[in-house]
Amino acid sequence: MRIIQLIISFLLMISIQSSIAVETMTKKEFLDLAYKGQLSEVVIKTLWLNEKQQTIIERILGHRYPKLRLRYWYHSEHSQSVWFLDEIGKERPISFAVSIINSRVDLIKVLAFRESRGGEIQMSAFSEQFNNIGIDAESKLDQHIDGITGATMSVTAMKKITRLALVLHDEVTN
Amino acid sequence: MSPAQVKVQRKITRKMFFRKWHRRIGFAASLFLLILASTGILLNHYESLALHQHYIQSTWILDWYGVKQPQKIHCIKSSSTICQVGSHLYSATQQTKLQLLSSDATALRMVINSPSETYIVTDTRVDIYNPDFQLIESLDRRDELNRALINGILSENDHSKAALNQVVEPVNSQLKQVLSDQYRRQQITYLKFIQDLHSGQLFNLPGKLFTDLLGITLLILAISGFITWQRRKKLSSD
Repeated sequence: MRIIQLIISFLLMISIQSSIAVETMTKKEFLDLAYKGQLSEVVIKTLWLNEKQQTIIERILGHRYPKLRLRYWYHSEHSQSVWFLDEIGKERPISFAVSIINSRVDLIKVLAFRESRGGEIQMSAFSEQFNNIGIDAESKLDQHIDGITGATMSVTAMKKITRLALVLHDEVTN
Repeated sequence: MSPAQVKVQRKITRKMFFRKWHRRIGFAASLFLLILASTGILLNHYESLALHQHYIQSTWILDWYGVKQPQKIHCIKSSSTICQVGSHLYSATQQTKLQLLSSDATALRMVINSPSETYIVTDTRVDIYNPDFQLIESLDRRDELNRALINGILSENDHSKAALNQVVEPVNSQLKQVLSDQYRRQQITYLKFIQDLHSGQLFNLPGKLFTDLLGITLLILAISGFITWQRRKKLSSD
């Protein structure tokens, strides 16, 4: 029995290792995935970040967003927005794509991971925890996310970006 | 002296030998241990201290690291002067007042000024700035989603892709010197310096070997200290 457990653990380890090597996707691929082929009905909009929004962003990220304007893809009928946002993990920026429907996360992916460690956040098994997550009155995630040993800072970055995308979605839909 | 007395004498000599060398080695290692402990604490809290975001300014440390003056400096002068030194892009006003715009830029190709925005075009990006050089947006030229937008920017401002090579030499040697110094002073972070000091890497192989020796010394001190303590404990219980 012990040998079977060891074999299963070994196989899981191998599968996790090969998951870490998954290629990132392009923004277009993410949009196709998020909008399920209905891209023609999607409008590209811009959000100029005002001082109030930068204050909220600073509370979430710990710093102001380094750009004055954000571009997002919006489907009014589904109340769905897609955001492409970057955040520093440990030292390098991680590029995320987040799709929000009715103030809940529909899909989140890592588009580009540039750190030397912590790439486990790209695994579907991890990112699926964010499905249907929302934020509370204090802009904190309303569900617990299990962390990954050795990837704390990448996980933190992903949680921050999720909160940010949810807040931004509320800003543009309200 | 009887054999028993000789045995006792040897025991005492051995004990004194241990204690003497434990003190000597401990004293010699203490200075380096102070450095090791201090740098270790700093490394543990480098984020809150923002050590990775601040740079060494000291010329002699930069010289020690072998940080040389940059080989090439390119500037484009239109209504503003944008200069590239390595992967750093600067806006230069009043000849010597510099603002770092980007530290991961690829080759600078063009600067386009419109009434409300400045577009800085590199091989991989179009960065859009307001008149105060605050970054509005950054468009990846390799991203097909941005293609139409970037083509629009270029065509609106009467610039075609073929014209993307508008680079001139720096306007004067004073600006060149300021750019050079500024670039040098943004190469080595405090984090890297403290990491190198902690590991001994700062002094290359001899430094690393010395740090290894210090580590072995700590092991010897721990073992000899334990042995000394054990013996004293045994004596007091006897």
